[in-house]
Amino acid sequence: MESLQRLHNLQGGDALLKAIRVRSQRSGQNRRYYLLVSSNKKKLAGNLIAWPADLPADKKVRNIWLAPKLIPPEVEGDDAYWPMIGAILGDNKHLIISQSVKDAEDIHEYSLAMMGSILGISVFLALTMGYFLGRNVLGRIDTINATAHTIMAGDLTRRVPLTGKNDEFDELSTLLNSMLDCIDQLVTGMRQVTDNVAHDLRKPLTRMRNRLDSILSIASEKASKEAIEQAINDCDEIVRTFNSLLLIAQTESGTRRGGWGQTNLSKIIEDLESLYQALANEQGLSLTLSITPNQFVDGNKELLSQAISNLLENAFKYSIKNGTIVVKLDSIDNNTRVEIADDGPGIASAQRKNVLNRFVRLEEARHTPGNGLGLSLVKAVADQHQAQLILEDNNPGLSISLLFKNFPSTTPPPK
Amino acid sequence: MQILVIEDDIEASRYLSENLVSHGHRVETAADGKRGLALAKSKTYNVLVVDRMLPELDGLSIIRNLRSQNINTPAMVLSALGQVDHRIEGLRAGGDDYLVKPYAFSELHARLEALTRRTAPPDTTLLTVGDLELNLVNHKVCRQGQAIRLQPREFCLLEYLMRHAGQIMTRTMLLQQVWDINFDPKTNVIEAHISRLRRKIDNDFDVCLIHTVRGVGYYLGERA
Repeated sequence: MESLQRLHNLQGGDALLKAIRVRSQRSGQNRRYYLLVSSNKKKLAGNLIAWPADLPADKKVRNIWLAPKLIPPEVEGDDAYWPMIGAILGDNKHLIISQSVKDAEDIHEYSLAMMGSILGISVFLALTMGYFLGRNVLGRIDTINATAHTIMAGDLTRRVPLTGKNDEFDELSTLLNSMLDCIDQLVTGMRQVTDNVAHDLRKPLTRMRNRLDSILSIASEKASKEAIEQAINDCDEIVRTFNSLLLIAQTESGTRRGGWGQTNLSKIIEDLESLYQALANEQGLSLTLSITPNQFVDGNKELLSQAISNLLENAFKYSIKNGTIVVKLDSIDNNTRVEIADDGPGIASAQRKNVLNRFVRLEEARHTPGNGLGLSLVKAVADQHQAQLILEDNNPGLSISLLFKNFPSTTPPPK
Repeated sequence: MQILVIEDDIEASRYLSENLVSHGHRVETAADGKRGLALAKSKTYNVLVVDRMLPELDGLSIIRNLRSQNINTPAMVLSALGQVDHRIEGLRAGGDDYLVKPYAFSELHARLEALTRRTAPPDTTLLTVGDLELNLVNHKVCRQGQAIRLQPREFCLLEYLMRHAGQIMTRTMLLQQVWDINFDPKTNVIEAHISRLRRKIDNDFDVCLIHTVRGVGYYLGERA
């Protein structure tokens, strides 16, 4: 408005007329509408139809209602408020400059549409990326799921495949696989035990049944009494086997938590020596001790005592005539080691792991009494004390060691 | 003696009382904890045999209740719970001995005898059985005046047998009392100790003092 007013003042009415005509022809965004009228309100130039009655020429922006007939034909749309400004120029000519609301609305709509499409594109991109990323993650979860299903269906040998990317998924899969190894081992162990229980208990049960059966037909009272006595012995043997199994199971599952504390291992061995020395003398064996006094480990006295007693009994059982059994206890680098060595036939290195399983009895031991549970208990006790059980060659004979790592705490290690 | 058996398993209870009666004891039975406690409170018994798991009131609660009222009748706890921890629990509650099921009657009987028989008072300095003497002060043992040299554990074993002279001591009782061992070794280690002790005590004398009760245990006494 200012520039048009200046043009009129400097160059006169004709220049203004020309300028307005030119400007009225312009189109596009920000299109302006003009109207120049003479002092008697007669239209001189511009693209507006007529001067609205309620617009004062006071150079102030007003929203004026334009009836349909006043709206320029090139503007689409109905009547509406138009922002316009009216002014009186030098020679009493009146000028309107206005802007179509429709245009502003168009811009508004256009920006909305623009924003909408940007949003749409972003959402699309995000979803696509998410889909591809997610498909990768889901794919790997699916692999784990599939493995789990196969395992649940009974194939315990299956493992979650690793991608070799060393990412969190591989870490999780490795963890799952080691858990599966554990389960596999437990199930195999349980199956083995069930088989062995069936086998090893059926033997004395059958024997007992046959004895009781024969009592029915035995005439002499003395003979039947003997048979009954033997049947009772069979029964005791079964009970002993059950008790051993129970103790191993309790030790393995860590339910025997009472009685933990600093335990004097030297004292346990000295006590056991006093118990077994007489037997060694009777059997013509030499039982010698080489122990450091007052060596303490964190553990359960009863279990340790029974484990070492089992090892001693094994040494007695498999010792040769006039053999020597040596018990050593020493402590190196905070590790306490108990070693029981005999000079009997020993155990072939291939068999050493096997003999720790329940009910395993080597062919050579078949003729000696025993239920094949002694070393299983020792293993269970060692595990609960986080001690290593080491079977070595004593050249000749067998050397079994329990290697305890000394912990500062007095609580049982978590299992 | 007068024995109260508190046991809810009717079959086990009958087996127990029949055997005890055949050994010359008078037996009363209770099939649940409440009735057992009432009987133990109202009458005098020489010994109580209490199953650990009972309806109404468990065995250890019965014993705790009796002890809190200064009823100190010796009590033998029977249990299917065999863990050492359980045994210690049973003894802490005031039980005098603990036996795990299944048990041999001879074992139970020997233990009941040990609980009730009068033994030498704890402040005795000299134990005597026949011509065998054991001096608790200077740890000297002699028979017919001849000194017998014993190793420390042999001395403990002989002392225990002499304190309970005439009573049958089972292998597990000796293991618990003399060696503090609460499991049952598979080899008969006690037999070896007894034969060594026998060689020293009995071999050079006409009368044997150490006797074996087959399948049950040993006792020390003059009766041949």
